[in-house]
Amino acid sequence: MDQGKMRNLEKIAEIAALCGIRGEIDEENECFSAACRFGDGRTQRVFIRQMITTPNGDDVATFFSPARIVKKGVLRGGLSKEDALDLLARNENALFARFGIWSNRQSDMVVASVDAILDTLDTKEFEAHIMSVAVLADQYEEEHGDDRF
Amino acid sequence: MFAKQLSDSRFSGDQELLSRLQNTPEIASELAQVDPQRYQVSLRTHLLSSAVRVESSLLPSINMAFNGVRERSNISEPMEAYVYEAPAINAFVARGRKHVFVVLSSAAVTHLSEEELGFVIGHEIGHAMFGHLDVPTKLLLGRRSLNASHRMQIMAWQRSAEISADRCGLICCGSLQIAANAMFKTLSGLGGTDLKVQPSDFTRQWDHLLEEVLSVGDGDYWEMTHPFPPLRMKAMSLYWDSNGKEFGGELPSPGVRHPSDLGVARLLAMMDPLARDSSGSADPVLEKFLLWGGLCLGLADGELRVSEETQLEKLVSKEVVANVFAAGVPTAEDCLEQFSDLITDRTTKMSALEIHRIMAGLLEVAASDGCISDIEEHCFKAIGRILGIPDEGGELLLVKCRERM
Repeated sequence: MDQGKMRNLEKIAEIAALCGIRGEIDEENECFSAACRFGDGRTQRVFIRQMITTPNGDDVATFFSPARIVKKGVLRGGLSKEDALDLLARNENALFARFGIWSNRQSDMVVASVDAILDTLDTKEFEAHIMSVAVLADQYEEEHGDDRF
Repeated sequence: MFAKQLSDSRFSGDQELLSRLQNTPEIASELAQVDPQRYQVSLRTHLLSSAVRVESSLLPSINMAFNGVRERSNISEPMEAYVYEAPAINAFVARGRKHVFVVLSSAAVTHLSEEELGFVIGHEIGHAMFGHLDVPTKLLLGRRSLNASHRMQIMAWQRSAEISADRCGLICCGSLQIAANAMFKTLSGLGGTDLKVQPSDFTRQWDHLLEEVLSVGDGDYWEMTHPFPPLRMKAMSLYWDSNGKEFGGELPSPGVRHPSDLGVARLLAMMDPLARDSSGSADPVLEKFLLWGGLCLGLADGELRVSEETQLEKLVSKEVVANVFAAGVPTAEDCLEQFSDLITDRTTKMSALEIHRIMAGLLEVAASDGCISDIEEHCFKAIGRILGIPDEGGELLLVKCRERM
């Protein structure tokens, strides 16, 4: 990982600490991760990573939380069309975060995510972004009968 | 002797930032690709066709001012001066195929006295002398492949280069008062021989500008090619004053960092997000937060220890700390109140990154003597609450800091 990215991840970890959120830097995946615990005993892991720098020089951080993994096989093609339409409909109602699909050859992963400019983010917004993606992803996961993430 | 004075006056930040630019692979590669000669070829034709060349028979007083500075500066390249029609006081220097051109606007010639023109011409010749013309910033900034951080680096160097050029102008005109007059007239558009500006009066404008900059926090000042004029005036003032105090009027030896350089770098950092952000350096926009917060922690258990004071002076200038103590030793409560007032005065929200810089800086002060006492911990959390940080956030930062100790 280059020094600039590492420095930004350290900043993210410190900001999380300011909000009272304990987490760790995952150097391999170049992200910061923290676990959110809900009152009903469920947990949800949230990751933050630096995605891009805007033309104005602002670093953009993406807060994301995985909600479901659907494996691809010979007979199965990952997420179905119905699942995809369901996610679109959910996006219409989701506040402060969105669903998306990250795909590779083995699986499709449903993630809830939100982007924010790191330099201007305040601590309340930071906390709110973590909670937004965690809640959205956890609700989806619960509806699919799981608490894996 | 004069030429040596000029060459020794270069602001160390100018040299440092230039060498950093040249050692940044992406910028160095772009620099190698830009071809300034394309523009240099036609420059003299353009000037000869659209401006008037300064000659003793046509513009004797300007010719005298120009030649006076040129001859004393020992520049070997052939130089020509031109005047072009423009309502604003302005000047620039450019390199052509065979000449270096100093170009003055008609308003500069009309409104500035001969001595004030000496400052302006000296400033422009300073750019040529220090090799600033070798870096075609305009062409470089037009390259799409450079990212914002590279552009910030280039602009920061450009502003530092202006400080060096101002020092040249100052030495050429030989008076801070004349430099202040020239700067004041350029900024206001006012003219006349009876206009006399006290440098200290003009410099005071910087203090007010500074208050505005601090209350707003981050601004897009990094895109400016020149430092704020009051900042330039303040920088010249610092340079002028420290020459008198530290060197008995003499200039420092070559290679020696001028005593005003650190203070000037701190002023320039206000306009440079990269300087604010670089680890280990002070953040001038947050200086007062660090000062009062640091003093609150340092004085929490009675007296400021040497290690705490040393650490605090890394975050804010020595002068700022000394000014506080000159007015009497404050209590930790006074400092906390001052800190709280700063938050009230701030007109824009404080970002998490800024809060992080403050809290991290304060922890360094608290931990500088090897331990964080209960009373320091109490003050640290109180400061955190003023910044909107919950106690568990403050606690977590303390735990992390103790782990590192």
